[in-house]
Amino acid sequence: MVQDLGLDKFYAMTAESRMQPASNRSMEYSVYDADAFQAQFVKRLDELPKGMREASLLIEGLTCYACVWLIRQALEKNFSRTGQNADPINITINLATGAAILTWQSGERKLSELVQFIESLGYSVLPHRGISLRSDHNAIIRVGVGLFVMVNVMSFALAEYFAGSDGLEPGIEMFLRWLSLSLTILSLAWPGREFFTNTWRAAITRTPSIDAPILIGLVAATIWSIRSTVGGQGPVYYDSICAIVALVITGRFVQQNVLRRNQTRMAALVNPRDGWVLAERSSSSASENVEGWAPVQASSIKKGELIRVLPGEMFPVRVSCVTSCAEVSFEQLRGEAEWKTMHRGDEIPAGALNGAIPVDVIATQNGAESYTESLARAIDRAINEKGLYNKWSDRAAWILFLVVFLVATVVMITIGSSNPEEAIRRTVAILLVACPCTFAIGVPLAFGTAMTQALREGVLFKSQRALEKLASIHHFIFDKTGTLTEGKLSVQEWTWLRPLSPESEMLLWSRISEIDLISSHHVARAVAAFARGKAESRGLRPFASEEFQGLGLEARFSDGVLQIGKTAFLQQLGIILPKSDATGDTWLAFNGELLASILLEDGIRTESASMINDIKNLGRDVEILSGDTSARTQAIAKELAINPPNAHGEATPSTKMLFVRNKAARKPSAMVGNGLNDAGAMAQAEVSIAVAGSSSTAMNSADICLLKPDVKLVSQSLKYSLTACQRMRRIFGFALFYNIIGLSLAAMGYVTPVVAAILMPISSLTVTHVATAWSINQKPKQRTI
Amino acid sequence: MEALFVLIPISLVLAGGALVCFIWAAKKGQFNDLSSPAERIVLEDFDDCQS
Repeated sequence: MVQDLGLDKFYAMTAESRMQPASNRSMEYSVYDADAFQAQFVKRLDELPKGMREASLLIEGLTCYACVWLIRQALEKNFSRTGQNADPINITINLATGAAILTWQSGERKLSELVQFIESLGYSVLPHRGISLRSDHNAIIRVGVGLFVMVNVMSFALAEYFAGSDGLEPGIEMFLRWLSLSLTILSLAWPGREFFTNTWRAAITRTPSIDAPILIGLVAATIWSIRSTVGGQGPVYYDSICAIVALVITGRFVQQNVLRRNQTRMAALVNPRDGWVLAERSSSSASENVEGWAPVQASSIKKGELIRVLPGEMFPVRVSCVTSCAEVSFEQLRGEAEWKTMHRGDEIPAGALNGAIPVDVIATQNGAESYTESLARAIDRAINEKGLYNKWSDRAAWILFLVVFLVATVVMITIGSSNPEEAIRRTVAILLVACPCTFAIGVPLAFGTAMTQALREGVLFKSQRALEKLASIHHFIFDKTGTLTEGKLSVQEWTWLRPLSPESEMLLWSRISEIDLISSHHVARAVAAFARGKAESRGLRPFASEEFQGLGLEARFSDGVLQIGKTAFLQQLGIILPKSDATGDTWLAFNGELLASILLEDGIRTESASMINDIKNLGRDVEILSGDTSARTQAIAKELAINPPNAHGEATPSTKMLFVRNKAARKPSAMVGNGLNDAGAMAQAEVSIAVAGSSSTAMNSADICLLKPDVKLVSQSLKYSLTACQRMRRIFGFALFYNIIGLSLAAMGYVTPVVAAILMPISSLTVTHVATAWSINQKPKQRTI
Repeated sequence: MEALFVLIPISLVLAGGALVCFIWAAKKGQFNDLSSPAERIVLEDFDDCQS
């Protein structure tokens, strides 16, 4: 208990200290307070107490129940007030899914506050919009019923098998058979119904389905068994039928759960703020927020409307600039790392990112026509054009079935004329033994396991198709900015222009590390992040800052002014720059005295090189396709040891799309990207991968999403796919082996119900083992299911 | 051996009862979150249980 108390205090303290740096982001959370935004996931409770609201949230980053406990305790400690009747804030969290229900008093607390608080504890919070997180109750029940019937019918069958050659007393034998028959019909009609519906659907759409051959085997065996039961003699296969139903259903249940979990995670990844911007509308009644800033739904913006867009926000529609000077990034749009300066009257395309200051703009198109909206529609089309995808297992099952059908026909023809009774008996045995249930159990299990393991490492496969296809990819096409590189400026070189004493150097570091508190300018962020790595303690805080668009910024401390900016900025301030050979184009000065030269660049991610190397070692081609300048793209390619002809710069979103389409037409290609500008190309590629932190549009069009900011996961997902496909082949080989033995035995008439009952579980167990016990990279084996 | 004609149906009825319990539990959402209740009893404060 003492430890518990200590722990609690510790967390409460960390929560407080973490709150502060996050404070300048509070604007970003305010979207949570807009009624229109809340409408998607918040319920207003009608019962007393009045004003209570209930939000469905998804919390990411929960590892064990201690996290749930921490969130509950921290919320209570931080927000409940003494004297009031209990605390008005309550949260219940499902650890398995991360789904949380948060109830709070809307009059007293803002949702944004609570969300921000939970995020400050180190978890990410997302609104949970109408996706069912619960695993389907009916699916669990079906599995339960299937297994129940299987165990009972098997025990009845065992009695018959163990009775030996004398057989059971005829009365009891018939009694057991009738009981088995009724249970089997229950099994087929309830859990086994999906075989009927799936076969029906497949027949209508004329697609191969693994369910059809299974159903034929099941039905043939059932009819024959019923005939034997009614006639009072002959073999019955009830135990095998029930086992097939139960095991196949169980395997599918596992896979479905994994898929549902992946899709939920996926839905959560898509930025909840998609389509919303923080802006001030001239016509807005400003009821949401005192300052007049309010989250605005992009599609509600009308042509000609005057809006003011906050720093760090995306321009929702094509706009024309009204402010005299604005700094804008086209990184998401075109993949250019540079910041551009826009002037009054300049057009800014939708999807561009606003830099440092609030910018007044006039919308030149309606929200619904904007680039992002039309891009989303184009992606939907491209994904639909990929067409109905036939699962490998379904096709393989059909080939198997055709072989079985041939053998059955041969048996019918050869023996049919002399002994029709025996011929039918053998055909039934063939259909039952050769039904591809090994496949139907093994394949979903193998994919489910692979996806679970991949997710644990941070790779989210959206579908089975993605996992299956990735292994066959030849070309890996990478976006540059934000994918191979960090996607943000960072300090590459820092040169002091004159020697400083260690004390004064440390003093400067500690001051610089604080400047991003008052300025969200991208240069300030990069420099402060670099300084935080150097500073030993927190320093004096600047009290004010001024940003000069496209040039630099000034941070005012109580004893002086710190200036950081481009050459032109410092010249403007009257500081003479040395003709040095320093490569930096950014300078740092304190009170007018020039101190350092800084090289700011969009640095390559540390793992990029080894990831590219891994992919090449697996025999794949790597290309870079970037919207940035050719020179810069070539430089990056050189550093990553990619052939210069394989690095393509200055690609617009549409040329990217064309490029990938051409590539994909020749050889299976994968596109790895992050930005809005990659989304179209990603939709064209056979398989697309979105790195962590991608734009929502890119996430939506991707088949695979990386959850951790580590591009090494690209090569890892390829390995997962390769291993999964190797398992598939093993399962296929095994099923083939088993079916050939079963088929030849059945054709010769040796498959009695006992033999079928022995073959079934053995094959299923082996396949289950092959499917689940595996790992990539020869890591120690992990138990997964 | 005639006892079997009574005992087997009884066993089936009993097993069926267990199955009904299982279905009821599944419908009540008992299988939604299998991991946290086990840990909750260790970590949750007592006043939470009372409320």
